[in-house]
Amino acid sequence: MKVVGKKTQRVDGKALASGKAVFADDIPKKDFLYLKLLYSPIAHGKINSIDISKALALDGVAAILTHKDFKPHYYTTAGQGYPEPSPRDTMIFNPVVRFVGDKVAVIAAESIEIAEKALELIEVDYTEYPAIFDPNKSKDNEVVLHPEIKNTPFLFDAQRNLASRITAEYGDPENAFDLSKYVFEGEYSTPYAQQAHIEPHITLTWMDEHERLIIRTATQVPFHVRRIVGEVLDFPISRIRVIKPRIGGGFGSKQEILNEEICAAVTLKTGRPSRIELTRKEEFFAARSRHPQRVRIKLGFDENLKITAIDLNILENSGAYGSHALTVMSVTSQKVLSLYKAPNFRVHADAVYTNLPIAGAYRGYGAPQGFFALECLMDEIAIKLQVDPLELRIKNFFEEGDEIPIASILGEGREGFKMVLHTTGVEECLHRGKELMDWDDKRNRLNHGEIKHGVGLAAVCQGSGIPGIDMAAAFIKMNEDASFNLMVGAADIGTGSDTAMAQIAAEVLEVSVDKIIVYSSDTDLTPFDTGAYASSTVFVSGGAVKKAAEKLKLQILDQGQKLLDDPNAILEKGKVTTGLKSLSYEEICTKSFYSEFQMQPMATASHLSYDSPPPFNATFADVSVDTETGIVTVNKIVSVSDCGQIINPKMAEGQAEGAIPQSIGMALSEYMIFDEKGKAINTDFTSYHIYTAIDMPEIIAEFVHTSDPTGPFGAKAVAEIPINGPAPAIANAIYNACGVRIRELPITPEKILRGLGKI
Amino acid sequence: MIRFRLNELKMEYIGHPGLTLMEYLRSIELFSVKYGCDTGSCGSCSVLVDNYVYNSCMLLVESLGGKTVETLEHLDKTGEIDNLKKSFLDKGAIQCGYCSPGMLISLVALFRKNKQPNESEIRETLAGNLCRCTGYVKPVEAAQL
Amino acid sequence: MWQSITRIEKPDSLITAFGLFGNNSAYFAGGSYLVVEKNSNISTLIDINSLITSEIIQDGDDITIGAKTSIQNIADSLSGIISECARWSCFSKNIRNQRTIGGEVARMRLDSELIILLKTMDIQLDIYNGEKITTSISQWDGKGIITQIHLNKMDIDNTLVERFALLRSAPAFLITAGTFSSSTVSFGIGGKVNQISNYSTPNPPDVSSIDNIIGMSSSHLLDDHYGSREYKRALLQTALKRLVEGR
Repeated sequence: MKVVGKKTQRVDGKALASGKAVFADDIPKKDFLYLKLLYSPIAHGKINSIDISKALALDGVAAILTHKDFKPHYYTTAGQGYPEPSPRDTMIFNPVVRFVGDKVAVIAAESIEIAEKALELIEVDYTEYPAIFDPNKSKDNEVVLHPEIKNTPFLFDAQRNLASRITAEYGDPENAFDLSKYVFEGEYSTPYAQQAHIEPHITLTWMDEHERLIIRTATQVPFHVRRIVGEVLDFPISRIRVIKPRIGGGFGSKQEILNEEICAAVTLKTGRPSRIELTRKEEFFAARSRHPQRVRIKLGFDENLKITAIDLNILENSGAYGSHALTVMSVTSQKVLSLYKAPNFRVHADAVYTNLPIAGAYRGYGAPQGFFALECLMDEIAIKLQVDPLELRIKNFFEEGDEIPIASILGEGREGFKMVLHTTGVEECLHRGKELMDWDDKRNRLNHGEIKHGVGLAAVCQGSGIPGIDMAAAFIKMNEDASFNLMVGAADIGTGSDTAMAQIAAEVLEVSVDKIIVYSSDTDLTPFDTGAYASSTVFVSGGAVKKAAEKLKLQILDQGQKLLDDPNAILEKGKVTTGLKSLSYEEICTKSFYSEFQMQPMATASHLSYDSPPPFNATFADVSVDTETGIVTVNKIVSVSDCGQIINPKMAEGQAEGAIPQSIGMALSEYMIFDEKGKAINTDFTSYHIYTAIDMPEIIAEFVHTSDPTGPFGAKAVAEIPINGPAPAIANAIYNACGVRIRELPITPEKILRGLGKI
Repeated sequence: MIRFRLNELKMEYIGHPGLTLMEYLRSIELFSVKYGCDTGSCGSCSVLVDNYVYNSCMLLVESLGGKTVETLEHLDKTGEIDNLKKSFLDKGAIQCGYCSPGMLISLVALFRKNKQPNESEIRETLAGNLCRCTGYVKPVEAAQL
Repeated sequence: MWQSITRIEKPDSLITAFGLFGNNSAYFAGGSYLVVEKNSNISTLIDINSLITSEIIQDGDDITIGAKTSIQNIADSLSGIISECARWSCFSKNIRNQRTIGGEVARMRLDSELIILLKTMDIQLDIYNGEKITTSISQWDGKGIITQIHLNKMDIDNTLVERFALLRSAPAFLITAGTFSSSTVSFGIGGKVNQISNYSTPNPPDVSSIDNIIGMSSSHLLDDHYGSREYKRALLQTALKRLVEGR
């Protein structure tokens, strides 16, 4: 292949490197209103009254909206396809507040300073209700967070605080456990972790000259924004246009309708352009974060150490509202059951409401939580049974040709689709990673002194898009200089998907990448795409691009044959030729525009896949534990992935290199803390530690090659898979170093010292 | 009134004494300077003042009398970042690009003093530029021209 | 925007600057703490940049540093533990370029490695508070304008610091320093504490002196998400042990 698989500069790279004005907020703001939100100071209670009179009287305040300005209507803020598989438990403003940070009012003023001043002048009287902060106490608690909502297929039992429940069974696990030679069980948990994208959530809305509502917003899901804003504000979709400019990172946090509806409401009410940007502090409590999960896994083994049964029990903390609650734990269940063959399994997962900030989508989407549990347990088992941790895994992996039963039982919020594993390179990933980590030398080394060193590993998988649900479309047209405009709905959120789409089109059309001009994610100008989530862009959106490019190529050939008057002419290397005569792409298009057989060479295609081939990964960690202080230093991470055919090697490595510190953070240094009243305490980058350039371990990210028949040019997904491995690998390495097994993340220094018996 | 140089222009400022340089620069459409945090931790608002890198969100415009401020727009025009830009693009060191202007500004300040910084000096320089996309792997590589 | 600021004074002498100081004002040099905090009680900034210097003068073992010297300049120009502490005290070079040593001392941040170091060495400060005085950092009442600080190179060479943090860039939860002279050791403890504490022991310190220090400073250690008081006591024990052994 000439273009796919080759190092290519990003198509938007120069603009980004020159600091050009390409992000949402980088537009002149003439006549804009600036919005600030008033948040609830209590974790649970009813608004008895809101007095906005003093605030409205302030010079420069244009509008204030509260729950009194809207008809009650329930929706979900989750950026998912319709019907959204999340509980519809959210109102734009609700007379009941359910966490410290829940929205109470929005102020629109001529400047941020005036809006901030007006916030202080709003008087709210609350009746406080008791609050639930412990997810273990939520189910069947007498305090009910959403007592007035009726249950739906996607809201399991509001009266019991159960946002969602999943149960699934395959074979006869009970019997299988009874007959197993070994049964092992473990309980593990993960905390609230933040995506921490450097660009905050930002939305700007205005009415254009045709009285259409324009929404320019940092989003991963422009088409869901359009639909949901239209629904919430009872405004026709035909009069809404959503534009996604360049995005400063999302990682799932922007797979949400977060404040677009409020900003649009102000514009509709006042007729004026409006802007709302979250401060960094607000990002920590008023946005979305990872779902904390408590995961219990039971594994049964026969005498050959083959898994006989898997029992998976999940308690998920959804926060005050249920955005993504069902689907995140669906993914936990699916992925945990897609790695090792088990003839019997059972899943029971509950997502409960608590009066804490709302959890949402975050890279990995349930898989990191599940694999932390599974891969730590596998490590514990290998050590107990005194077998090689790689061998134990290798003998149990799904193999090429196997059907993966969980896939047909459990989709996202509904039944799934049959999945047969076409490609797996996980064994090769393990062997390669082992080599790169000097595993044999390091695993059994003797540790002397206070600083102990250890290594650990994890094997993981993910998916490539949501089968039968994620649909993408592309539109491509030719220009007379043999360049092509490629319009895709797919959202580039910094991932480089615009570039990957261009490479796919260029490969099909046999031109260089710079001939493809990509425009993406504009609901007026680009066709539909569900959005940048579930690792769907290369696999699904890329599939649409490939199809559209192939159709266009046939048209070019057809035009060429007509123009050459030879139905046997062929297309190669940018021209159509009979052998004796040929016409270049430029000549074909020019004639098609202006002189003969006139038409616009262009094509559209949609793509939906019923496959979601898992990418695989093996991650190895090398750590040092200071056994006098409990402080862990990560020295090296090796991450080897099987993502099928890599479209762009630099971009793929970049995905791994960025995912790794997010996972290390979840293991060691990133976790939200709340006080006894449910208020988030660490709401800035000084107290919530993300890695800086001076903290990084050595990172080696490599890929093994497979070619999956279901993906464009053999590609599978790459964006989420590398985030699943580091946390369990580190926990396993810590055990290898000092014999302390911590099953609840974060692994803090104090937990290690206590584990060592030093305090 | 205070007078200072901003890129290729001479500026005069009469305005609220509490206005930060970041707000001022974005209000005159120098959008390479970005907002990312409230504590000066992220460095997305980095600018050069008299050849040193600062967070513009922590500087008051009114304290800049007699100084020279430079933003990425200017360094791009003069070509000073050409080699760095090419290296960043070739090595794939830019993903979402939001932290990139800050990183490039920090590196220009470093290169003006030290033409051949080693990896540890580069990391120390970039520590004040938070990035969530790259793990700093390719930016550090790209900075070693 | 720092809304509450109504004016920035630029006095041409220390007397004038000191005279302008009041309840709603603050001295302004680098501003790296002030402009982030935007304290709404402050309406007047007293710009003292033209009244202090950023010179570092070394005369034998005496090092005199002008209060306007940036933390980054200190990290680059001086060597040894003071350079390390300057870097540890703030992970961002951008901020270190702006933050002045005068501003850092005036702030007296409990988790600044630089402050713990200076307090342990009990350095001398030149202050203007209506008249020019020189006082030690432990005795300074916090009033007036810092114009210079004085360090002793021998003290710097004889001081060790242990800092414990989750990451190199993260603020430390425990910082311990020890300055070892021929007959005594001066210790300083800070980090996630409610106050910085300083102690003296004979050199070498015996077990009971160390136990005393741990006992006396226990109540200063915070119980927070970085760790319980018990954990921090254990850390302190390790830190003191390492300081003494490192010597």
